[in-house]
Amino acid sequence: MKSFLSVLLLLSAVWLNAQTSHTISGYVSDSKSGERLIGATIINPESGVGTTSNNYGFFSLTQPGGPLELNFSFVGYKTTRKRLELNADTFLTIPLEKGISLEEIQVTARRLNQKNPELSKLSQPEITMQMIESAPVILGERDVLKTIQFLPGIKQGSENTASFNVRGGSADQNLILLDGVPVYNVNHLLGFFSVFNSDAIKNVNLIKGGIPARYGGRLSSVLDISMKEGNLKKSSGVFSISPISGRLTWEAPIKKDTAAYIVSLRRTFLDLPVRAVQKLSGQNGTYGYSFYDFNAKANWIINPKNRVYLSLYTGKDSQFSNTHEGNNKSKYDYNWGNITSVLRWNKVFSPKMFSNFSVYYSRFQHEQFSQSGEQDLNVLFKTNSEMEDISFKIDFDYYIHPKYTLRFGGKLSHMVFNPNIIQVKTIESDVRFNTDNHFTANEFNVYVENALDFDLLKINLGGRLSRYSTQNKSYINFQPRVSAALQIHPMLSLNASYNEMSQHLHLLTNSSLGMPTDLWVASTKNIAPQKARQATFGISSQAGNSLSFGLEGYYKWMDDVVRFDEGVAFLNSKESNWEENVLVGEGKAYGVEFLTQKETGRITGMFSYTLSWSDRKFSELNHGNWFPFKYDRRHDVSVLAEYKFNESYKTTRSISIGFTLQSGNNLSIPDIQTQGILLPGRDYATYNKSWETIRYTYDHPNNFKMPTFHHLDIGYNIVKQKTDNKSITWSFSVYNIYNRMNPWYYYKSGDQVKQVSLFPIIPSVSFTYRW
Amino acid sequence: MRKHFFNLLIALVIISCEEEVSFNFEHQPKLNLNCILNPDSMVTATLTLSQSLDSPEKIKPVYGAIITLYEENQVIGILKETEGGYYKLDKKPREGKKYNITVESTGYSSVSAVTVIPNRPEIEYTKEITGHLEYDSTRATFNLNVKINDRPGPDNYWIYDTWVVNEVRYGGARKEINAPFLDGFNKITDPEAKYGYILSLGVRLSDEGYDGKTMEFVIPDYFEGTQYSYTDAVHFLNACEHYDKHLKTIILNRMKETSELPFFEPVQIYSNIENGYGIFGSCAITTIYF
Repeated sequence: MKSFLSVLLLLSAVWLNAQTSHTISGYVSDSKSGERLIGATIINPESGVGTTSNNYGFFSLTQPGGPLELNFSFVGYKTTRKRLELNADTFLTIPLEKGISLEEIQVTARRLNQKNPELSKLSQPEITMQMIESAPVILGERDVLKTIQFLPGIKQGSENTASFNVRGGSADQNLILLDGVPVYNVNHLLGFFSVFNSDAIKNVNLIKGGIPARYGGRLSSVLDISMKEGNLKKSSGVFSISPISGRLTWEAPIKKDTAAYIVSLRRTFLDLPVRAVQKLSGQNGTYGYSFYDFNAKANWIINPKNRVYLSLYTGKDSQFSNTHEGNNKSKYDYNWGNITSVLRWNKVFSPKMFSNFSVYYSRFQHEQFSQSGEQDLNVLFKTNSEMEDISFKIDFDYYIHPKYTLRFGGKLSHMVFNPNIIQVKTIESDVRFNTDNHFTANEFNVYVENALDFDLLKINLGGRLSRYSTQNKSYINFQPRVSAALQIHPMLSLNASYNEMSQHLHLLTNSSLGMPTDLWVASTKNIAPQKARQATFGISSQAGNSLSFGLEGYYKWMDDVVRFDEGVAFLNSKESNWEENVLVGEGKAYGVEFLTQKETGRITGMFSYTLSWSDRKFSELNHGNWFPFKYDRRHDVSVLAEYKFNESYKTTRSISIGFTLQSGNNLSIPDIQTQGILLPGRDYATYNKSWETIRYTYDHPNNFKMPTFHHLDIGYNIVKQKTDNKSITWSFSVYNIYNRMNPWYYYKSGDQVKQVSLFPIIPSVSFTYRW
Repeated sequence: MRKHFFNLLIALVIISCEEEVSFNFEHQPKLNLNCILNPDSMVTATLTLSQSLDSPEKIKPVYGAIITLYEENQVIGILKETEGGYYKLDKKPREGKKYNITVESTGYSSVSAVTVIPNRPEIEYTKEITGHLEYDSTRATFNLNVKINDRPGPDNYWIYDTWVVNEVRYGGARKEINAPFLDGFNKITDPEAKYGYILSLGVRLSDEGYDGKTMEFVIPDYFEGTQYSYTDAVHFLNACEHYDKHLKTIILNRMKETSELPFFEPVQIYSNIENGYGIFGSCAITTIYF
């Protein structure tokens, strides 16, 4: 009897304890603008139990009832302590003030400021807007895609291009999202600048290992960029100008604390004076080039549990020329660009269940248009390549327990592809080519993630199931995802992950310039989706309060990778089906990455080193043997550092340096000459040219290693605070301070080989005014 | 279109820095064997050394090598050297047979390769008179209506003419045809051409999708010649898999070298020679004489 009562008492205690747990949920935001903060930490300092806010600033934490203290922290903000009596489920909105917190809390915030604590810093490196703002850049253009190239395992294509390769993958294997919408072409001006206007960006999240199941569709990485939401409190703006472009951003409440909007425009301006000069000088034509980006977003807090967002991005590059001589006129336009738009609805179903519903549209198009004629422009030549993606997504975050979060959701997509449609129209005829290339595809994805916290061991275990259907054929892929972090010492953690990915979109490219002629195509009944498996293992350490180290090895296997066949160029005149011009093969990539970061103090920065290999194999090339990938760069060293001078309220100054040293790209350059045979019938001819009897070839593709690439850049920033709300920033930078002429391209001119370098020492200055 | 796009790139190149560079190509010479077997001819081969691209010297022939030819894995002879780098065996290979070749030469790695002699194309044809030349009404123009009775198994057909001008014979591919089995790998759009395109340096037909069937097509625009200038034959060459790949890569490479655009995918000249370079292939030719 006594034993029975004891058990009953114990069970009652447990039951009562369970009954007295309540959930605190809500949002963490910036006190001045109302912007939700992504990855803010919420910790019970007594128990050490905590959580982080999600992509929409929402958090949920279940704690025992009674008196409770919570610390709300975010990097760059003062920590807010909240004391409350937890008697019931409680909903809070916590505004955080910008400012400097205690170093220890700042570093703790940093350490926990990861939505995926089971991932190492090398798999999910931290990218802050401060890093993007302070990195020295070419021509004064802040660029998120160029800043991330200082991180280990991330390599640029050609010098100063926005295209990047992650852990031996190709540029199309990176999923780049803007407010959850894939952006397909991220390059302006042949890839020298990206489409992302940093004035409109709130948060950047990059994952290149242990990719959680909620992401899919690309093999190598996810770059998830969130736009600002709009200032809910008051209107504010930013005006910037650099040698390349002008930018204007304006945000304001529609209704204070309820609805707000933000619009941001960036445009090159050099074409405007050039056009004016051409017209005034009476030239018989105008020529020019320009690009722009326009971002707009509005949001409405319907009530504490419901919020809707509407985002739009459109950007375009345009090259044009208009000439007229007598009665003859001609007009030529070459333009390419993206449109993305998304409508999202956040709904809090319960204190533990957060959801997001999205409908989005994304389109990339490039078009050439040429008209000519006498008096009327009556001869038309037009080429058009386009892809469209319409999707519906649902995501749920279910905070079941402080130690267990369940995430699940799904996505349904409909895609339309029109690669290289050609129209030739005259007075007598109107002919279209390649209309057969048009096709559509559908994709359905579901995923589940289990984020488990066993104190010293954190695990994310999940899977993603995708079904891609086109041309009466379906491809079903199950992609397991697992990642884990084990703290073996207060300052030392082991990390490991394994993920499988599939990708049904392929970018066929002849170069790394990010040219619009690069062709986005999708898997068909003949071309299967690409697949990859990646395993990582690493160790990370926090030495002291501000210094961290990480070392991680990876191995990636890739199947069904796609590339152009030999001798193919998108702009050639064959105009045949792209499927006939590609090869399908395998890839493998492996390496080791090292990263050390200093996160606090007057000097901050990071040093990274990557040792890596990346190879490809196609049965039709090189006798089916492995050969180096074009971006197989053995060594990659990057340094990014900033030194802040003594700060006063009115003026803050800092100097930053960026240094990059990489092994060169690989090219296929003939380096061997041999005697050849004549083409059939040509043995009769007496006028044989030398090319018919001497062959120039190479042993294997990508046989030639370009010279080591390196440059040192310096930046100097002065921020003058005019009033509480107004500031002026002058940024001075010098790109390539020792004028290293890195080769950008080689070409043959007769018997000579010529090297083209584009970026000598380039000083620049930019100006930013915030109000 | 391409011109405008290229102009954009040229603008970048103009503002760029350009310098002539030379590379120190280090290359260990290897044996380069060229040998195409033909049932109508004795076996001949050339053997030279490969060299670095920047070498100013002429290609060196290889003397005194031992070149052994096998038919169905049985030795049928050793090629004799006739002059520097040229070797000959007074035997004719046979259709449908497999041939191996090995080459040994002091100081170089041995090379080897395999080929199977394809079948001679089975051709039927008729001449269709279409009119006469505008400038000479005595000379008729005609099309050649051709049927290839394809045999089962992969075949790779190349078509070329031979013609005589002032008693000198010339040869090569110079006609465009329009057929569904035409391989368009070397098509170049030309609105002024008969079919809207020209075929660069070769006319290739593939029996993919037509294996074992009859392939009918027209070779247009022949005309009767004079005693000084006339087309004397059209040749249908069936190339083995290796010779066929080799020819395609030669043509693609040349197209890339002469293209306006610098961004063609590079082309590696195909070779089936183990440990060396060159080509060991075979073909069988059917000729229609005019």
